[in-house]
Amino acid sequence: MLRGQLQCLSPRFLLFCSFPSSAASFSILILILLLLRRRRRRRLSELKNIAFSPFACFSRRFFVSGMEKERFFGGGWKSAHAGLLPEVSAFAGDEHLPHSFVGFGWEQPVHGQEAHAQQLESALSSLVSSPSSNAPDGNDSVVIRELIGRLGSICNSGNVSPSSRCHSAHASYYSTPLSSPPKLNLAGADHQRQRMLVNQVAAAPFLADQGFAERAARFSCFGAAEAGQLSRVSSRQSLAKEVAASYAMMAGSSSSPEASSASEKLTAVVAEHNARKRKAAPKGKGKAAAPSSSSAMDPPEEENSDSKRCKAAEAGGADKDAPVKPKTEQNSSDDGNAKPPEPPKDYIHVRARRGQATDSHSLAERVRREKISERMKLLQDLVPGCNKVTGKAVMLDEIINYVQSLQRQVEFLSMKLATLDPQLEFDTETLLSKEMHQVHVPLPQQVLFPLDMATSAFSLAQLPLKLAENPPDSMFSSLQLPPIDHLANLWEDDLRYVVQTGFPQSQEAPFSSGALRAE
Amino acid sequence: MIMAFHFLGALSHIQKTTTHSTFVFRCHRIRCAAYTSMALSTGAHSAWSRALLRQKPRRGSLRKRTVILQRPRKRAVRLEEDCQDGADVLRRLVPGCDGMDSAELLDETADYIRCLEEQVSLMRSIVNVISLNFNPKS
Repeated sequence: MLRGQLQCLSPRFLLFCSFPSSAASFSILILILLLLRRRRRRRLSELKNIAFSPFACFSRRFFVSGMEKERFFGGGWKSAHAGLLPEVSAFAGDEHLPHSFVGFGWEQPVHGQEAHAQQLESALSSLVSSPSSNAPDGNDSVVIRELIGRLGSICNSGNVSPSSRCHSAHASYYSTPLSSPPKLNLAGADHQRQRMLVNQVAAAPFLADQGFAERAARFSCFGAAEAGQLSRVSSRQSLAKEVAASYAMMAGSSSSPEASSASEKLTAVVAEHNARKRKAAPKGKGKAAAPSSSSAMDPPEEENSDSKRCKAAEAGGADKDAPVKPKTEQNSSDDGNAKPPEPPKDYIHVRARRGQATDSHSLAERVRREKISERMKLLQDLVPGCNKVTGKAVMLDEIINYVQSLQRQVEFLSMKLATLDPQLEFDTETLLSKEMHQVHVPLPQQVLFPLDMATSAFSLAQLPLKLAENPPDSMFSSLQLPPIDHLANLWEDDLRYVVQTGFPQSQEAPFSSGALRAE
Repeated sequence: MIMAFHFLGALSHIQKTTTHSTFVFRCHRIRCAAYTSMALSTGAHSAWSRALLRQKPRRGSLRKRTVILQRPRKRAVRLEEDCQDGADVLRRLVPGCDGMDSAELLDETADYIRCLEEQVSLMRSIVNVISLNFNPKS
């Protein structure tokens, strides 16, 4: 449903680029609201009795307000409702909704060109606040209140992005509504996501009008709050990006490159959004919005309240950041989001870090990378001489070298054993007994082994006469040579191992260094 | 100790059976015996040990181990990125790590390195013992 919706929206967005800024903004906001309505409506219809009431509230509210804009808006809403309500009750035909709604949005810019941005703001804010004002309506208003409360919680989580000044204003704006509703059970996970979303939207540097930006952020969060699951943060991101891009279009006047880039961005984001799956959004978001809307003030008073909330919210926002777990690794593909949401996946619960992307893909990648780094640390302890080495590639090389050297040692020791075996009466029991003594003692002290090995190698090497003349690089070809050369090569290889393990032996030093250089 | 037991048993077996074989052949046999004893001491919970045991069961006792190898092993869906981490050389070195995640590969590598170190120390001590026995006689 949402995919179809967005697919409908994307051409609309493109088309809206050509419209004058106010009309485009108006239509886009209407579209966003439609999204909100639709998503929230899905959940409301699940509740079964709530679907009709919010829309009734809205239409009522608009008729009561008497503002020209509102009336028009209400009229548009009413006509939209006529199409929406049966859909909601039937819980079907999602594709019809955007078409009908977009039709309205299409018509409205024609009429609403005189409307100022602030009037639009007020209308939209009244829209949002209307369900809260109709407290006796019942569950739906509560739902909406909670939803808006969640919106507030979005911004409440704190501001990290220094890019936008309105950012903190927005964040603080929503913090107080968050604190009020006590029944935000699912709030925790959603808030962070919403926070990030709101931050994204609010961080748009081109939003000159703070109040308008607040509205936009709120509404985008409103719509985004109902979108997908926690793991689908990216979908909300894209939605916020869409909103932000549309605002960029509007705020940056009608410069065509901006609009085209914004439209491209929108389409790309929408395509990205469509590509993601969406799970059922929690109902608690809707509930969270409602209380925030109830605490939301009338349009003329909002600016005053915002400033108050800003200070209160920033403190709350700072507190929200504290519980975020710090992690060591940094995600290189950050989107620059300010807030870390907490996406509980089905099998792995991951908490994104502050200032990091919250893509499901990037989160999974981060988890994987951290796993790998953990194991690399373990391997560092195993492989001798890797304490100073940092970086995966170098560490990997060291590990490979070590494994190769160990395998070579096994080979050469087996060759040694092959040469020694027939020359000796192989008494398993005696060997085992001696083995027990030898193995237990030297195992914890591996340094002794090279010494023993060296002495034994020396003793063995004294048998063949051609020892010193054997070139070090004939090691691998020694397999075909007579055993004497094998022993010599074994000796050199063991010496190399001695040097690698850092065992200091002055006698072997020249040989080993020569062997190393030859290798 | 399990490794020592297996390995020494294999060595004695090889010594008895291959007195007339070539040196290279005996080397190869001893090497296989070393890896097999490594795998036997580890058991079947490591992918590399399973792969080693699957390769060449030369000794009769090894055939019993095939029961362990037939355990069903779930293979999670592996993303392409995980497999193409630049650890191809390591995959080649560590047996039985072909379709593995980088993280699992590193686990297997750690296990493999531990076992290899044990085996190497065991073989060295055997060589020492033999050489000590050998030298006085010569």
